[in-house]
Amino acid sequence: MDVLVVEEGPWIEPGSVAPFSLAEMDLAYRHHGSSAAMGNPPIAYAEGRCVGGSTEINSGLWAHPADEVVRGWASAFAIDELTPEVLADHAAQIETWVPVHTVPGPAPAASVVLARGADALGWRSTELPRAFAYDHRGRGTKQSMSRTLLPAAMAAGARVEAETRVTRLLLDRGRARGAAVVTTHPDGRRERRTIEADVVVCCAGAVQTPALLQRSGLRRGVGSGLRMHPTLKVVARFPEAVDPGDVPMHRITEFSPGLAIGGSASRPGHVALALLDRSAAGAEARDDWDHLAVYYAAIRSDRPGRVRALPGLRAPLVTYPVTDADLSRLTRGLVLLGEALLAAGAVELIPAVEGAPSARSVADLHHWWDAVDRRRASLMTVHLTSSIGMSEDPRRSRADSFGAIRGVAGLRVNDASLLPDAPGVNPQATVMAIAHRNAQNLLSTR
Amino acid sequence: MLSVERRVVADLTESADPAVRAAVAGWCERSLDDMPDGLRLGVKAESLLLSAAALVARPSDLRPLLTWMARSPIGVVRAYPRLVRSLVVFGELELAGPAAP
Repeated sequence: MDVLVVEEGPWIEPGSVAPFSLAEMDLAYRHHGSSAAMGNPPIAYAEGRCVGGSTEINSGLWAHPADEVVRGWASAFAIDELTPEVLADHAAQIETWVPVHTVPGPAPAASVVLARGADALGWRSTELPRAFAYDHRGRGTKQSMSRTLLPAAMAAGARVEAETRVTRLLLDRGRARGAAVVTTHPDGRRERRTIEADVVVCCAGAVQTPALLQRSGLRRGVGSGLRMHPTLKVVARFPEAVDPGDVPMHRITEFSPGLAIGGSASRPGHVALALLDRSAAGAEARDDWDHLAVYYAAIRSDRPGRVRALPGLRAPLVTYPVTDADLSRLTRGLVLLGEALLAAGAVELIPAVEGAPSARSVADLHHWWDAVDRRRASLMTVHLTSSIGMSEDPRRSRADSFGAIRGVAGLRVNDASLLPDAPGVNPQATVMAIAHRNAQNLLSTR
Repeated sequence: MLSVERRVVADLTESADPAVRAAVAGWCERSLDDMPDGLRLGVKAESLLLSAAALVARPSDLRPLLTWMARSPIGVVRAYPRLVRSLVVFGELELAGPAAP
């Protein structure tokens, strides 16, 4: 079988840029990280744009969705061969190729804080494993696709073309024939050409995959089910240094799957972004960085958003509604997160909400109920899913239970767009398990 | 990057080190130029309005005008200074801050 992987972004040598750094945003993030879903309030989001996609820029956290979530998807969306057991089997197969481990030895203090706070309040928490390999000294290396499955595929004969943007799919008489692409060469020259293929599998993510299908004339049932985990952040100050250099692996699971509480990347720049409403955000983040860490509350929201490819615009328009109930749940999540951090010993909490007072006690947290509103909350997300979905019911989705696009032979989708809904956990494991399941189905039908 | 945007970035950058200021300006330019086209159009429109306001008010520094925008009741107007400041603050800490992991 001749396999060609086409990627719009560059090939970045694994380990050549620091995780979550400006250099990484320059090279590996779409729009340098400046993407946003329009709405009231808008939601900033990030996507990878490089060989390996968002596995190159995420934290590698490996979480399985709750069993009731998967069962609910299968029944509500009429999806064949989707059970918690099936997903677990496929995830286990992936774990034979992509190392997944918890941290050997103690986790960083900024992570343990979450477990300590949860313990003090009698809440459940867990340390998530990550797609990481660790050496004998305990140093971890993220096992992104450019380190794992792509080199394995290339060793088996697959070819990878980076810097090659698919402008549209070639469709002819109800069949996918390939793609029209533009390759940017190292000297800046752009070459337009077509690639012919018997089978085309789109794996460009929950924003770019529906946009590509729409640009190719497939609009019905495509792009309208977008889901995110709207997220609010808070900066916690601790009296002791908390080693905030790594993304916390602990999660408070007491309120899952509706509400997830965890920690974020906390380089000085990220801390400053979360402190942006303070006049001295930069100085504070620089001078007190090792005592500060960023945490978040993320929800499963009420209503889906949309992805629309508009004529003349290179980037699709992304819109996402935030309901009053969503805002209320986010505020509740922020207050619960605050309770956990204070119980863990934080001395000050600064929410990413314009004009909201910082909190030094549980009593202070109640002011946040009045402070969070559409005008003042800074929402973001890094989890985007469900813009196409999958279903045996053609009224529910353009894709069948395995990502095959109805009405176009030889065309499949196989990425986060297929998830029926936001999973309520970091989605990488779910996306990869479903992708493996669908790949096996594709091979079985050829 | 429009000239008024270059001026906004320069006024918001705190570092006196010319190399850092140039690096921050470069980061902001790359980020603004790479924004989704719809968003970029909106930012450019606001930059032009800011430019017109600066022509009238002739401030030596654009920060008072940005503070005024940050207090606007209109969301997209408030978002403008926040966006540029976020780029500058992140860039300055990444490019001039202490060694981070």
